[in-house]
Amino acid sequence: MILERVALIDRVSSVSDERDAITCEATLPLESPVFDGHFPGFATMPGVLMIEMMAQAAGYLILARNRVTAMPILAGVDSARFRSLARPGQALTAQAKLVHDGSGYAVLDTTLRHEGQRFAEAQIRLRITPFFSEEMRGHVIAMIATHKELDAPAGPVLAGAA
Amino acid sequence: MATYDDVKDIFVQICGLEEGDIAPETNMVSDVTIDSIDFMDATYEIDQKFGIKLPFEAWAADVSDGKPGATDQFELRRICEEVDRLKQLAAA
Repeated sequence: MILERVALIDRVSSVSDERDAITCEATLPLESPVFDGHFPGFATMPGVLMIEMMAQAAGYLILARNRVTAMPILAGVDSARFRSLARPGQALTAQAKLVHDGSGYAVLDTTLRHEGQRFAEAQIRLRITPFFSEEMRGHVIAMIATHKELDAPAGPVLAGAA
Repeated sequence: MATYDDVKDIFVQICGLEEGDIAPETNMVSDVTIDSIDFMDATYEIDQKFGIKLPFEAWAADVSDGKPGATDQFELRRICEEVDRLKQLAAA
């Protein structure tokens, strides 16, 4: 198994004032080891990575809401549909809208589009859990800090959440 | 009993339990086998059905902190009492 670094969001283009919706952008690379095997002679983004990009957009929104005090973890994918193939070089837009802000979890409707055309959608369920390590939280804080649109300065970890 | 029946049905359907597995005094954490994802899914269904936000995260934190009686909050009867309390708050 060859696992690449799974960084699927290039930039956050907007977060709603209510912090219940987010839009993220990324452009598929022209070349990637992923495409070497998926598929030779016809490169396409694997559907599972389309889900992952939508889930990462959803996760960014949760991190913006909780000021990086707890980690959103993918816990469920419902009603996923893949309507078009995503090809190398295409610019993708992932949007996530909060449907339910639960206690320790969140449910979000997400879409993936290219030039306005809907490529995929899914309802994503995230469990929101204490960070598994300080190193992990540090990595996420550093990652979030590169996306100024999130305006999510790290807050203190609350008692019982660390 | 309406709340109890609805909440029990949600746990039965979401968590794959049998009707006879649970009763008002059943502790939904220690008396039955429900994994955290099923528990989260059941919570979502309860939240959606009653228009509330059950504070399971706080209850779990109480258990982690060793707060006396914290695990009792997961008794089905107590969960239903909390549902009714939150319903009244939401309606106020």
